[in-house]
Amino acid sequence: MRPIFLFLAILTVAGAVAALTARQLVHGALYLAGAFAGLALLYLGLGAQFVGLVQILVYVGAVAILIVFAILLTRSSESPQAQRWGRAPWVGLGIGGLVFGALAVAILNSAVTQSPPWPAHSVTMDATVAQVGRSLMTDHVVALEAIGLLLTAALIGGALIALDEGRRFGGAPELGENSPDGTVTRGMPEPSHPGALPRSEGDRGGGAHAGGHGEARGGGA
Amino acid sequence: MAETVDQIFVLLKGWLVSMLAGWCPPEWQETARAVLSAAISVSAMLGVFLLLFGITTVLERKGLGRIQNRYGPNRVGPWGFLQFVADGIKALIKEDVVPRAADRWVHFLAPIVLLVCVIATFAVLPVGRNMVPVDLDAGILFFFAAGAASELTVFMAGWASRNKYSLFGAMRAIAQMISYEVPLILSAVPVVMIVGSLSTVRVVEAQAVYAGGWAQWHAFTPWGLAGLVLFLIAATAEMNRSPFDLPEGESELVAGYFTEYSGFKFAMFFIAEYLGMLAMSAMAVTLFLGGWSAPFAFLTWVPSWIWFFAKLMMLVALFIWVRGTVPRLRMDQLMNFAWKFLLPMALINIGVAGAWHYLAPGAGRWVLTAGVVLLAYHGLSRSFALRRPKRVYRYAD
Repeated sequence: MRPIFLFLAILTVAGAVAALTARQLVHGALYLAGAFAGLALLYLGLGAQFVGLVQILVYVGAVAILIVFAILLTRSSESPQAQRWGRAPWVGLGIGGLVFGALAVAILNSAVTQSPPWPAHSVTMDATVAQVGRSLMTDHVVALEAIGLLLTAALIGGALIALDEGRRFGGAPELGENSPDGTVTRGMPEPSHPGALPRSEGDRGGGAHAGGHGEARGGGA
Repeated sequence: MAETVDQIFVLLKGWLVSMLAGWCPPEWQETARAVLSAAISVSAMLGVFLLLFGITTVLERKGLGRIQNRYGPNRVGPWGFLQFVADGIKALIKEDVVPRAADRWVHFLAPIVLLVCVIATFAVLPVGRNMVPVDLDAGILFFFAAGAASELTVFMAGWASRNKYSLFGAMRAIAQMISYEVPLILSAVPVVMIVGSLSTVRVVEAQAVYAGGWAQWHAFTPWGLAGLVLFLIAATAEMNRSPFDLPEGESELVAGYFTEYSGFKFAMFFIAEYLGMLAMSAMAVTLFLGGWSAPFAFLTWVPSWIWFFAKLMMLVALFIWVRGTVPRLRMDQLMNFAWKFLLPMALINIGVAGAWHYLAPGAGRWVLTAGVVLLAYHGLSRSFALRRPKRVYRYAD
């Protein structure tokens, strides 16, 4: 257990440090994914299968990709000249140290470290997924519901923001014209500019009124 | 006799382990047994599935050839079945070209990490009775976690190549894989709910029960059939196969994210793609088609591993058929399909599975759940067709 823990701890911390100091933002994101994976392996080493696997699924599989997307969409990936140190590195270091200190004090004073009969092998502490699920559904059901509500609200909010943007900017921005009121469909904005498209509007109009079934576009899908 | 044939590989492994461990000093016995057991399981899985990968590539090329009215490979070996050996040797002796502007390390790591992630998924697949490398308590979660970790490697490959086509392909791949991962996992949730376990072994055991001569496969229930179809569609998109092969899109993007890969690194992408297909098919078999169990009680004398691999190859044939016959989707169709059809369908299916669990067994339960599934399918596909904005061609008319 010991050497494996040391190896994983070094891997995780080295990944985190490299993510902070990498000059290339994308490299930083990849190092961060490495740190996430190291953390997941630490969880697995502690016998927490569910937490470890969810850590990989969510952090390596989704959060790291989200970060990569954010980097690629907000700035050119060809500009690696990110500054290594921010304007006030000491403030950041101070806050980091404070958080670390608070956590360390809390852990050292908790019941976990003070009760002497500490099992020699952590093998018996395997928490099965069924146990995790049962405790989530009974003891912590209020927290679970609250988190579910929060995530649903965030999801709907994100969809609403995207919807609004589609309404506002969707109407043929390349023509330099504001889109007219409610004619634009959700999700896939149409260039509703009748003057520019006389032919296709006329052609399609007849077909659509004839029932929509016999069109060449094919039904079902 | 049938029992021995069924368990022959398990017995063989036990015999090998005890024989090889016998040569070790007594104080190392336990470690030696654990190491040997793991090594034998891993090498057996790797050997079988890599061989299956080779055969699948030949089958796919011959099948596509038949669909496109031409001969497939027919020169190397009997009926061309040794073509994959020639392809492998060719890939090994080809020059490995790395673009000068490429990010060498990331470019080098991407195919390796991808292959590692894909091979890891095989650890939890039960290929027969008592034949699973690791019976993880959270096996299904492990499978999806390893699959999710491979998404980042696609981006690594595309970004590190410093090629705009590679980057386009990688962006498409990530957008597609992230989107289809949601319905993929959600379509597997009903199985976990009904079985009450995330272990692949438990899932198969729950289906290997016979009532009236029929196996209790999940695919024989309304929610199971809907789940199987959803899972297969989402899996096709997840492994970037036609009709969801936009990330490769050879008519638009050269070869997508592995444009700048050659030699054996390209072969590694190729292997990972096909092993991924085999793993997804095996997971579909495990979750919905009863894993290694026989469909009818009177066929249980056929060894379990034959059932598993027969079902696996049936699904592979289905994927080859789909690849040969369904045209590629457009990017917006792809996204709309995932978020506006598959996702609501998978969510409704979860509710249907819950109702199935609580309703009394009988014909009423069947009619009710099947009706809800069909109604949801009809409503969603109708609204999908109606809501589709009118296509306006600005330049192509």
